[in-house]
Amino acid sequence: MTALSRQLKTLYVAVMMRVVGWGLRAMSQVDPVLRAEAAGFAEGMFIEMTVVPDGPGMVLERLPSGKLAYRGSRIDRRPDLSVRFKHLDLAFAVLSFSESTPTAFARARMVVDGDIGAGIRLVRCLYRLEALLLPKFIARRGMKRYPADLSLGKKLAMNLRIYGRMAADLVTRS
Amino acid sequence: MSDTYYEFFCPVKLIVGSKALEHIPFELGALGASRPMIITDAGVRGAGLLDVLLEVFPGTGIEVANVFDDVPPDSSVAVVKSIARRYAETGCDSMIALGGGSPIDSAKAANILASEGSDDLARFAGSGNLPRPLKPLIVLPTTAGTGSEVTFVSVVKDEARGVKMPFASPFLMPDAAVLDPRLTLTLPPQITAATAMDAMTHACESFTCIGKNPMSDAYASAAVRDISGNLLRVLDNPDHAGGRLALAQAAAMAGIAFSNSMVGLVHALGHATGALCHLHHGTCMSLFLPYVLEYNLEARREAIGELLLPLAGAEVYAATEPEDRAGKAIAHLRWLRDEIHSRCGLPRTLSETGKVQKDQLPKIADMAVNDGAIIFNPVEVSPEEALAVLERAWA
Repeated sequence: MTALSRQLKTLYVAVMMRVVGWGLRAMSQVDPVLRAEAAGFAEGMFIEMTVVPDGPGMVLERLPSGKLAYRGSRIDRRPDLSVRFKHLDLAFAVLSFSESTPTAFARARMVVDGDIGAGIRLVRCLYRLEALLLPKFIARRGMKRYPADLSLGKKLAMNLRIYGRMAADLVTRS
Repeated sequence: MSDTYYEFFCPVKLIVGSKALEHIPFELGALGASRPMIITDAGVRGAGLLDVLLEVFPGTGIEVANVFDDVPPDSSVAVVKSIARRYAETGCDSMIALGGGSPIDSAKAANILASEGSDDLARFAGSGNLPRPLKPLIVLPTTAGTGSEVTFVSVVKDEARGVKMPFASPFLMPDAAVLDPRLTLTLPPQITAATAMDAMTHACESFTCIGKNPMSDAYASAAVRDISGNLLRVLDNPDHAGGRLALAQAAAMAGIAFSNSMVGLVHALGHATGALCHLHHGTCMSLFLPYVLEYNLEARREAIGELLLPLAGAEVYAATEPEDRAGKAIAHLRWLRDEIHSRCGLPRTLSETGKVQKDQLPKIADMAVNDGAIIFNPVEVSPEEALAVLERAWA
């Protein structure tokens, strides 16, 4: 991998990590499905997704309200659930949707530390994010099954709410 | 370019066959140990297996420093702490687990505390939370099913929180597993069948779920062949030492397979049913396996069809059209389940178990979709779909 290619991939993964963090935060406020999933995490739980040893990452916290808060790219304390990609290229493959999340799990592309049930819940959150934010033909590459009840109209309406919430969160820095 | 990728790891030394027990003192010495603690349960002691084991040590330079023979059927944090305390108090330097899943899982978890000098088991729960190798551990399975002798996991009940606490780390893999036909000869028929069907499920799920790979397939396929070829024979003739050893080997092979490719929906349902209804894990596996294979059929028709060869043999496989093989493999598993029932009464349906109420099924389904195994199932599973599988297994 050339230095330029590595830099570009690092940038892409960093941006996508942030999109995932911001997206899940916004969806935990406006999407009933994601809200129910997020509420299932233990209160006060810190969830980290990153690339070893010190690559791009994102951290979420489950608030007492059941919503998720974005806490930046890393934290000083030990996270309760940590998903660490073993290499930048492996994170790039998942975040560019050339390898699905379950396949990446099955191939041990990442190390999952912490509560395994919470890890499964996080995967479902990622499925939901992909299903709502990505075009169907891309989203289907990232998951086992695209939700049958997600029509284009429903998806666009939810897109508006999620992107609106993300923009509002950016403005208010919440 | 092929995008195939997998990892395969099994550092456990297998010591198998006639007089395998007599090799244990030498193996302990090779590991630098001389004062092992034996962890077992009252049932194993009652069956005389502890005495058989103790007979191999005199004159070998190995002194059994302590025997903990009070492990309950469901391993618990209190028991694990108690084992670790006694390990330290009596100056032990290694562990020998003798028994089924509970003594083995208890020994693995106690080894964490003994090696780390800690009393806080929860600190090490989850995946990848062990910082270094543990003290020497040799495992002697007395059931042929869990595969725990070759896996990197341990599950312990946290009574205070009412949940099962899983531990997963390569450091939990035993240094050696000893498969001696003497250890499983006294196993009652129904436990023999349930544990063998647990191993059968490990192999079938390993072979059909998304983590399958050529190495785990080889172990899984051999395990299916040996269980299919020996289980009914052993049920008909419990003293058949060769058949017993074949089942023990098959359980270890299935354990190696699934710890390298994982399991899916059958286990997710089984874990939830076990937690809520206290139904024996192997019984759950036997009940759910055909229905889950049916659920996964369209996504995994080819892999399920390939199972027909080790399940039913070359003649049946060759005489069956390729498109019919998957259906026939599932039918063979149903036939096997019914044959087992006729020989030892192992339940065929959830209602037959008498331990599950029908109104518990939705809760089992909800719990199952949050189980760690679910991600490796080839087909996505919603709570409603899990419930539908449970209802099919009901009657």
